[in-house]
Parts: sequence; structure tokens; C-alpha cells
Amino acid sequence: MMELFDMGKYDFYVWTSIGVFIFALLADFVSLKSQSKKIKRLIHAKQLKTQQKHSGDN
Amino acid sequence: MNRIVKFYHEMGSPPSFYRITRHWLKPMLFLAIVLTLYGLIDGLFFAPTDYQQGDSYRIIFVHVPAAWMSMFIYAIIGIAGIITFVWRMKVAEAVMMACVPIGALFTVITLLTGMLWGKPMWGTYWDWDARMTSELILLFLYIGVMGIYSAYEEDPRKAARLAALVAIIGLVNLPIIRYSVVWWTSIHQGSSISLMGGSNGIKDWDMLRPLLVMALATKFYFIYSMLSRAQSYLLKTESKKQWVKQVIKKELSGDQS
Amino acid sequence: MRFWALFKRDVLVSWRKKSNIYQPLVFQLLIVTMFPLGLGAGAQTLAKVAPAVVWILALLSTLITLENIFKDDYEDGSLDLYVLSGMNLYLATLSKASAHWVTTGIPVILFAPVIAVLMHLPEHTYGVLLLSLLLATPIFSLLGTVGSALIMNIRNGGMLLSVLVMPLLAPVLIFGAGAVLETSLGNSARGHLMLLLGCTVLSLTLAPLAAAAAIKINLE
Repeated sequence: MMELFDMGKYDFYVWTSIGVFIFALLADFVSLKSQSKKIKRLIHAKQLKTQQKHSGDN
Repeated sequence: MNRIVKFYHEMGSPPSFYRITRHWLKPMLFLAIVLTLYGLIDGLFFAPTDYQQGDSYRIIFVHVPAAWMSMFIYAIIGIAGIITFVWRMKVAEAVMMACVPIGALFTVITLLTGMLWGKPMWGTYWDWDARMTSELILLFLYIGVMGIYSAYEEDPRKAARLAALVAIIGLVNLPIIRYSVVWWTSIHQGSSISLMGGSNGIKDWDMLRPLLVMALATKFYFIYSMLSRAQSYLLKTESKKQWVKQVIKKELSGDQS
Repeated sequence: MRFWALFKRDVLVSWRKKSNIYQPLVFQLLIVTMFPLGLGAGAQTLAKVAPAVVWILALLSTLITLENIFKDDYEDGSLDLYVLSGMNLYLATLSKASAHWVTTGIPVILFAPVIAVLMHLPEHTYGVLLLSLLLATPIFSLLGTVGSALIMNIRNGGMLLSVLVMPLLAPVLIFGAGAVLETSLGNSARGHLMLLLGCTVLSLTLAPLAAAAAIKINLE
């Protein structure tokens, strides 16, 4: 099993590269998810506020 | 033919763009993950070892797809920028700005993995060869588009049009920069070992297959990331419109059930 | 006619302010002092990096003056007036760039030999140095109007302007500093200078278009 992961003398370079690739894409995924959630929540909160205002006026 | 025209018109209006592309996200992400897993396992464990570069060449399976994407995405930004600039299409604005973070990210991945490949091949992490240098300048162009947009963020429409202008200027200059950098390296140093050309490019199908699979995987992830950010962008900039209210109501009630 | 009126006014304003003219030169003098202090004062060492240093100093010292090309006109509203009066924005930016070149570019060219002497640049390269700067300083001014038009209503836009303009200046530096370097090595700089001339012509035609577009968006 271990020899499967053995990249000759290039272990460090190959595995760090793969790590950089996966980490970067995961970071992008997390950031876009949190951004979308934040925006939706913000809009929802604003809507609730305007609704309350309207009901208060009546 | 009619259906294509109709589709084109629908993609131009924010509500239908949102409604249509919302269903594309999950399949795109699924394809990206499956293909990445397949490509990486195939490339790292099953592709044959290169007789000149040994196992270090396996960095190609992340480096080259990322490099392709970094340039491809800038081209899309430029095209979306032209549409934004000339026709002031809101969806083009959203697509353009949604491309910037993922494009910059692929540029950074290309630079970092290139450095990690350079160390065993050139004996140094950084070499001012034509590819590395122009990739670095490409990163500056991405930062420029991002910078001008965030400087005008209170006024998103103006910000988007100025960012589009910056992107177009960059697109016009990119060939000149590229040419000058290639020319500059060709006179100042002997040709260093090219990362791609170590063994005259890749000819073996067992090496090519994972590379192509990874190229597809990054394309699908790009589409996922771009669409998802473009949707957020449209929600944010159109937050006072009726369709956004309906979308939010529907999605939040969907979450609770 | 309006082109000349605007040009004359801008040159006069810069001339009265004086600081616009000597600031880049003082900057160059300050920075060039740092090189022997950091590198060691050996004439050989300095001569080796001299083509790049003289060139990069010319570029950087111009860069610090770019931010204000449109700023004053934007803030006191005269830019709105040009647009309202139906002035051709292409010509207006061209006139702005020319005025900037006369008040910044020419002093930088004239000052370059001083920096070259301080850096022990080989004497037979002076002609090419001046010629390359003569071709390149208009590009600095022209691309400067683009950058300045993009950032004119941002408070601290200097950094952003550098980010926007620097990548576009990379080819200019390659051809310009390369010309001086090749001459100092005893090679012909013809190819470099021709390509630099190409850049000058290209930016002369395209840069005012981009700057005019940026002004239009900013004033909307």
C-alpha cells in the first residue's frame, strides 16, 4: 500500500501540489457557499424589517 | 432555431437566468468531484512513470489544467466585459465578476504548483521563464479587475462597467505582454528545461487520459463556481426586485421543511 | 483649437505649481543614492545594473505623478464642463497626456543622464538611453491618463493605479531597458527600439479611447 504513495524522491513536491490544488478549490467552495448564505439571510432580514414597518403603519 | 433564440433571451434576464441555472449547480459539482477523483487516482497511481522526469511529472495533472483554466477564464472575463460594456447586460456583469475569484485562484494554483515542479526540475522554486512570468502578470491583471470593482463597490453598476473596461484593456494587452515576455526570455537565457517538453510533450494515452479528465473536471468546477457566484451577485444587486423576494421566500421555506 | 487651449492651461498650471516638475527628479535622486549604499560602490557592480536602474527610476518617478492627472479637474467640476460643452473626450485626454508629458516626461528625459552618470552607465549608451526614453515617456503619460481616469474619484487610488498600469508597462520596460542593456553589451538595439516605437504608436491610438471611456463612465 505504501509504495503506491511513493513518488520516488519527489514525494514532497507531488503531494504538496495535489494538496495546494485541493485546498484551494475547497476554500473557493466554502467561500462561495458562505457568501450565498450571507446574501440570502441579509435580504431575508431586510424583507422582514419592511414587512414589520408596514404592519406597524397599519 | 426558435428554441435557441428563446434560450438566449431568457439567459439575458436575471430572473430566468437564476431560475434556469439553479438546477445546473448540483450536476456540475457532482461531475467535477467525480472526474477529479477519477483523474487524480488515474494520474497519480496508474499513469506510467515518465522516463526523464520520473514521478515528478505527475504534478502536470493539476498544474496544466489550472494553467489552461487561468487563461480560459480571463478570456471569458474579457468577452463578458465587452458585453457588459457595450450592451450593459446585467447577467454579463454577474458572469464577469463571478469569474474573477475562481480565475485568480487557478492562476495562484498554477504558480504554486509550477514552483513545486520547478524545484526538482530546475533546482529552484522560481525561474523567470516566459510561462511563469506571464502567469504572474496575468495574476496582476486579475487583481486589477478585482481592485477597481471593490474600490467602487457602493455603486455596483459603475463598478462593473469600470471593471469591464479594465478587463478589456487587459485582454488587448495580454498578447503584447505575452509576446514581449517570450521574446525577452529568448534573448536573455538559453532555453531552460520546459516543463511540458521534458519528453517532447505527452504522447502516451495513459498519461494523456488523466490530463484530459482533469481538464474537464476543472471546467465543470469553474462552471459550478461561476454560476453560483453569479447567482449571488444577481440576488445582491437586484435585492429590491420582486423576483428576488419570491426566490428568497421559496428557498428559505424549502430549507425549513 | 480647444485642444491647444486645454493643453496650454494644463502646462501653465503645472508650471506654476513647480512641485509637479521637480518631485519626480528629487525622487530619482533619493532612490539612486540607495543603490551604491545597498549594492556597494564598485563602478563595475553599478554599471552592470545601471540600464535597469535608470529605466526603472524613470518609470517609477513618472508613476507617482499619474494619480493627479484628472483628479483636480474632476474635483473642481471642470471635467463635467468639458463633457457638457461637447468637447471630444478623445482629444481632451490626448491634450491631458501631452501636457503631462511636457511637464513630467521631458524633465525625466533631461534628467536621465544625471542618474546615468551616478550609476556609471557606459557612455556610449547615452544616445540609446535618451532615444528609448523619448519613445517611452509618452507611453507613461498616455497609459497614465487611462489609470488616472479610472481612479479619479477614489480617495487613495495611488496603489490601485500602480496595479492597473504596471502590467501594461511590462513590455515597455522589456523593450526600453533591453535596448540600453543590449547597447551596453555591444549589440545592436535596433529591434528593441522598433518594438518600442510600435508600443508608442499603439498607445497613442488606443489609450485616449480607453481613458475617454473611463471618464464617461465615471461622470455618469
